[in-house]
Amino acid sequence: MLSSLPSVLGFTAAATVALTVILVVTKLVHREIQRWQGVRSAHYLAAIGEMLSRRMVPQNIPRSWATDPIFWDALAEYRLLVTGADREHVDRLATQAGVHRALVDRSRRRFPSGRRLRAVARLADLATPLQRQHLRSLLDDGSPQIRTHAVRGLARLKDIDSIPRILDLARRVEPWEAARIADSLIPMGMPASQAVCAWVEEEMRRPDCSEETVALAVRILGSIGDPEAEPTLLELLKSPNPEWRVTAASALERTGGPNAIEPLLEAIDDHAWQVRARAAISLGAIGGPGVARALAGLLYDPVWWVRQNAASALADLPGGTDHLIAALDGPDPYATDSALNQLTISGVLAQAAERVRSGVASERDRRLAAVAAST
Amino acid sequence: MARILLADDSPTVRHLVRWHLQAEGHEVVEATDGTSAYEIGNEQDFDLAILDQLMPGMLGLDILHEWRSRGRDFPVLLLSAVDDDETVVRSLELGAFGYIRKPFSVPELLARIAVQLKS
Repeated sequence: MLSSLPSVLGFTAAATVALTVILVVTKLVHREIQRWQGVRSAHYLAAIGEMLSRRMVPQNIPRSWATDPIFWDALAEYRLLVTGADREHVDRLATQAGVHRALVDRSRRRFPSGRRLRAVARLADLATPLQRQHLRSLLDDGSPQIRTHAVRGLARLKDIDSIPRILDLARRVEPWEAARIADSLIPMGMPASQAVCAWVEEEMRRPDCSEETVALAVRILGSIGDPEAEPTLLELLKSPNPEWRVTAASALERTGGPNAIEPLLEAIDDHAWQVRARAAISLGAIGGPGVARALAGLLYDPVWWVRQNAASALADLPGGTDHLIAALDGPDPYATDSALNQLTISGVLAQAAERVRSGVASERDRRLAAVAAST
Repeated sequence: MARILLADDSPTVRHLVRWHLQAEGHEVVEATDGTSAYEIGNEQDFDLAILDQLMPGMLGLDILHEWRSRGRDFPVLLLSAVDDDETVVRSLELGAFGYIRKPFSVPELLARIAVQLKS
């Protein structure tokens, strides 16, 4: 037993030395690769910057650039940075260098997944309408990451025709992927809203309707803020599905106009408190006659969130502060609390106290200052 | 010919803007982070400074605020991907002559600089 100890120790020492050498060599190689990539990146940035500034598209761009991911990154970086004619020039450079062809080629299944993903991610940034069909075909890919980049690319190209297919994809995939797909569609802006509305209306009629995806689509409509989406949102506000009513009430904050006031006033009586809370915010954003009085009534809602949202909305409405001050003397301590909280947040109490200190206070200021001092 | 301080942590922005400014005959001094931009602006005189809002070390607005409080009053143009009105208003209140959002139009940027330098 003892006689074998030196050989065990020797082996351990040799293995430690060998592993250390491997580690050091790997680190050196990695550092060298990174340095070389940095040099190439700087080289590409300088070259593209010069071509862009001189408005030139050389005929003899080295072929190796087209397949170099660092060149793709540099092109994408410039494309994201500039607008107008400069951006079009970046597109021309990418075409002339053969980048689009290379990206389409690398995104095919014969390449390893990591390389494919990088190519599709860059294709999403750099694609022109000529690659639209290829991006559409990637919506059926097995990889969720590739699918989400394909959606991003199609959204960047404002490919409205793909919206129904993209939303159909969202109903089949995991929630995280569906959420990313929804986020990608928002930058398409108002041109997308009619297609999203049409999809929502059709989906609502389906027997196997995906409630989550409809809610997601409504969130997209709310973020886009197109007034044309208002009829669809008002229909959803009357639906039996509470999640749809909540998202519709929320989306109306940005898309709703005078026609939305009456349905939202009805929604503040909804049995689901989440709908009442969201309707209060949207009513505060839209405003209109009778809204402040209705929101003042919500200060007496049994749910804290509803009271708080109503108080917050009132603070932004003409005459709303008067309702908040009136609630200070009301019989309901919860309403008083919400009003007091909002008057503090809005700085009304502090301003009143300041006027008292300056000697220019009204009777109301003195009362509010007294309230502020007592809290 | 003007002397211009260009502070941005993105080499792409620095390269593109520097190229155009040098092509128009201006002298460009670069800073790659907020702290060095602030120090260079304290030590040297410039006809104009272009500051990125989000830089490591110091924000463009903070640099502008510090310069103004120390009496450094050369014209400043903020260049940023931050797209909120509050930042724009704050930069103008602090005395920036302009705020350009990224992505930006190079001709617009150059035109603003040219107008400022003429005035």
